[in-house]
Amino acid sequence: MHVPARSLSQDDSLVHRLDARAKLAALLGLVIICVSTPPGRWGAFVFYAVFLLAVAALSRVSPHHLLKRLLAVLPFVVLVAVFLPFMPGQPRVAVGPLSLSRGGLAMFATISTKGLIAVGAVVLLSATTPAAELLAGLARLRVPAIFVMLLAVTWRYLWLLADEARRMKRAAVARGFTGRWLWHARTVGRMIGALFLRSHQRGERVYLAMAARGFDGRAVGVPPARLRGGDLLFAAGSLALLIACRAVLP
Amino acid sequence: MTGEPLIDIRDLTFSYPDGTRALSGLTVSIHAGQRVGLVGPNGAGKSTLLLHLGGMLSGTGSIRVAGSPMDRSHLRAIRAAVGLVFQNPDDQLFCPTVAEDLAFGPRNMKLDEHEVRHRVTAALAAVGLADRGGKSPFHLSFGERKRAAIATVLTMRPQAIVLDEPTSNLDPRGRREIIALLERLGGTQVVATHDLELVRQLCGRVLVLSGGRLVADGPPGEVLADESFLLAHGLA
Ligand SMILES: Nc1ncnc2c1ncn2[C@@H]1O[C@H](COP(=O)(O)OP(=O)(O)OP(=O)(O)O)[C@@H](O)[C@H]1O
Ligand SMILES: [Mg+2]
Repeated sequence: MHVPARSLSQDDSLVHRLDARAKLAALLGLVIICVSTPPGRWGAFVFYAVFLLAVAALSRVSPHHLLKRLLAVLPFVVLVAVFLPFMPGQPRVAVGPLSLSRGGLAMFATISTKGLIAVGAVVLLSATTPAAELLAGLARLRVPAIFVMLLAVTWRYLWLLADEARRMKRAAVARGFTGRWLWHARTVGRMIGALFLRSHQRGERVYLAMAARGFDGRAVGVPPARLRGGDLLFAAGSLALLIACRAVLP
Repeated sequence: MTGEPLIDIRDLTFSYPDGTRALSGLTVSIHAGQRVGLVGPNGAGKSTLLLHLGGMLSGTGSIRVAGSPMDRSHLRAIRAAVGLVFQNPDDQLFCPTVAEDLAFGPRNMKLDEHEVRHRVTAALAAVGLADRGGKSPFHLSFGERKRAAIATVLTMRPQAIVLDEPTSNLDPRGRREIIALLERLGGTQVVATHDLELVRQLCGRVLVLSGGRLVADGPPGEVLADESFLLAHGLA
């Protein structure tokens, strides 16, 4: 239906053409390495950011596009950490009328930075890799087939659900619904309820249709594909660089 | 015909964000009281045109409804004047009961509760669902849901009813019921459909869309009689 064929990307670049496995290794590698870096190692964090920006520049995805996705997710990351500076404990710093914990402030900065870099890596990965390739990449990296299939089905039906929600909202708008005020929450709640019921019914129909075509609960794998030299170079080079930085930089 | 048209479309052109040109240079006017059939092959742009009439999409060119241009300040009034019935009744029905779904539009119009209830009862009777008001839409048959969807705009007492494929996926009796209902309701109607028989039976005028362009406009007796024309536009 409205599943974008090339996921979030229409462009072509060196990064787009890399094998999904290479990008998965490098960018998910970055996420793990970044998240496991001890707080206060600002030199390393700056390098991770520079690395990410370099790949983003190579990919030629519009910065506007990346920023928009990043901003959509970021509030959730910040929300998790925003209360940390208000923790009790010494020493404290005064910021205007507020008295903040120095340790909490540092933790807030670290968590936000890690979140920013991790989300940035995932955004970049999805912006340069069509969903189908990502899924095949995961399967070829020996992620159990049933997980890959779950992800694939989720991806497919999320779009269907979004499409259904959009059409439902449109039909309500045609009858004068504006959905701007708090008392519209009831209407929105009902729509979500109706969507849920229908998703559930559809889930059962889809399962029956799968069973009718011989599905017995065991997902089938994807055919193997060879990695090219460039892919290996990118993945190995990126990982080596990142690991070295995590070990060496202050 | 004299007087100002109820719906006046001039030079309407629209492309979807992905670049698909769905309507090109469409000019049509529809007068109050006309029942107009809108036909054309899959992908001709029928649904796209109907969405424009409800102000759901906006292309270049101009659309006026009852003399008002389609802009932000008139959108509310126009949506009350044009009752849009979508193809899939499940998009339209989302409340726990049919009656509440019928009340949704009038409540958005801020009518008082007494009037709302009066209209709901009248609309349920009009579509032959008088005893179904308390049921969940999920438990209605598809044909009943189609009629309930029509009732959800009847309660708004629109000046025109615009329907997208009202007879699709219905059994012969369900189809006959819809046709009889549309005939009974009267008033201004725009009916997008693949059901040429319905058009011949109900409509005094038929518009043929093909590839986003208006390729014919006239009485069904003439327009739909030309076999080679129908073949050329995927209608036969
Ligand atoms: N959301 C969308 N995004 C992009 N293109 C679209 C979208 N919806 C419709 N189109 C395209 O616009 C054109 C007109 O579509 P539309 O749905 O208006 O046709 P239709 O006449 O209603 O067809 P049908 O008889 O199949 O309902 C088609 O080429 C279609 O592929
Ligand atoms: Mg259509």
